[in-house]
Amino acid sequence: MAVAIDRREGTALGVAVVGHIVLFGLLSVGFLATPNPLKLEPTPIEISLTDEASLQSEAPQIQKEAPAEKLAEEPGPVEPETPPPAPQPDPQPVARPEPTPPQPVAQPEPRPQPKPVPKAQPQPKPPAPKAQSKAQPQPKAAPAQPKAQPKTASQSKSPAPSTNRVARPTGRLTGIVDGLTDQPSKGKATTPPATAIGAQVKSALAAEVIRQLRPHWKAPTGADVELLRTQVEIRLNKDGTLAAPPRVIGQTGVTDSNRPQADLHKERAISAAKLAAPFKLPAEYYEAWKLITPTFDRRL
Amino acid sequence: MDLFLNTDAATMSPMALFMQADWVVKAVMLGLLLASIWTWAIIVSLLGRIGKVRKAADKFETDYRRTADIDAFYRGHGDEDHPIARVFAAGVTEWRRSTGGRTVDREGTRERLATTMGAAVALEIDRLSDRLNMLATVGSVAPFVGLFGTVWGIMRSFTAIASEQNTSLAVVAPGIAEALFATAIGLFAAIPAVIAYNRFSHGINKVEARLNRFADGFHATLSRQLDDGPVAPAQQQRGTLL
Repeated sequence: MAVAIDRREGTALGVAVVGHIVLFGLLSVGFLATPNPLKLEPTPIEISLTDEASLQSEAPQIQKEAPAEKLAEEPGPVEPETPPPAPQPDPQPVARPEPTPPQPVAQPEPRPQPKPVPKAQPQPKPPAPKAQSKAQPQPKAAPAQPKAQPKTASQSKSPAPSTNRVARPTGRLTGIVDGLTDQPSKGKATTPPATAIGAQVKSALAAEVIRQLRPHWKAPTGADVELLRTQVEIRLNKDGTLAAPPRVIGQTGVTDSNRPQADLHKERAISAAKLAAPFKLPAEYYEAWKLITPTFDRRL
Repeated sequence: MDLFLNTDAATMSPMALFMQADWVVKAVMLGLLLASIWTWAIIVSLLGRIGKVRKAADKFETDYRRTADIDAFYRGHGDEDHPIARVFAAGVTEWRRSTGGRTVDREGTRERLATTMGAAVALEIDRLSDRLNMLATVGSVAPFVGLFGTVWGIMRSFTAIASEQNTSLAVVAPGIAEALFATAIGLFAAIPAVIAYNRFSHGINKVEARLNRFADGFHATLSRQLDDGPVAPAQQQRGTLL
């Protein structure tokens, strides 16, 4: 092929070069670039992974039948012969064995029971909140109130009011007609927030509490200090703030060599609890974390 | 529309794709780009030439049919610069040579006229289709060249994966995009070349057929003239022709 280019071919070559430059220039300056008007920004979604389903149902129990009639509370000093229906020992594994003083936020009645229920569950109690508040003024006078119900979630409420009614020899008539309405009352069901809080949730909550405490915890250093274990009781409000100053409820592992650090250990544990507040914990499980007792050791 | 120079890898900008390519791929791209430019230059020039040839042939044939005096027609149109005029001129030149002597070999003259005009037609077609082979070459080879660039670029991308031990798509995507751009340019050059080749082959065949028809017709005219009357005094008789 002769590469001799005559005038006409030179013109054609110029046309082709100009055409290519224009085309590629247009492509380079975004002539065909597809605009992204939506600007689809991926918004982060919070996900939580559930490993297993718990063996125990944790869903709130929906009551099919009419809600319990609010029976009149027993205001007077109840005779002592009414036995507590089932003063069963609390089967919950997380129940703390130590006899804590009455909790300010808990119901007043479980105190005389052989084993106090720290995780006071309000659900089996037939009295509505109003009744409870009314019962508040005489906590000491009712050492064995029959209101203290067995904690089994499946138990229906009907037997409890009946025993209550039998054990009411007081002369007071307030509320006596409440249960005598000819039609079942509407609403005011004492639906529990949850029938039970499963062990999975409890362990997850404990882990979460530890996680939030850890940044504020600094163990003292010294000989044998890793043996020290300080258990702190933290009472929390529903918003995660401290309901009471945290206090030490136990310390183990004190030896002669680490005794100088024992008090420092307690102090730092308490300050860690104070610094970690307010805790961010799921409000629906407040019953499970309104009182937490983390144990501080060297690594937490 | 806002005009800006796209140089980030996430766009279709040819400039960005070219700049981040390997040197082999760059060479492939440059070669294909030059081939594309040359292809289009050929296309533009051939379009003009074939159109011009057709137009000139139309005009020339019309004038040729109208004229009665071939000699005068030759004086008027014989030196025109287009294929059909050159074929006509070649025929006339051969006629003058063959009938210029004392004795005229009629059969030999006829053969020589046919051969000369056939050669003239072949020469014109050769000139016209000079660049066609370039179109054919680009059309058949450019995709392979582009594919070579792509294969090379993808090999390089995979080597990058192996060296970085990172298989995320963001690592390999730019390399693969740049590699595929080589194939894109190859097709960009090849597709017009193939289309133009077929189109111009057809157009040049038509021109060739037309030149052959004209040459045959002119040969018939000259041959008839050769048969008329005795050849020896044809010199004087054909004064009109020559």
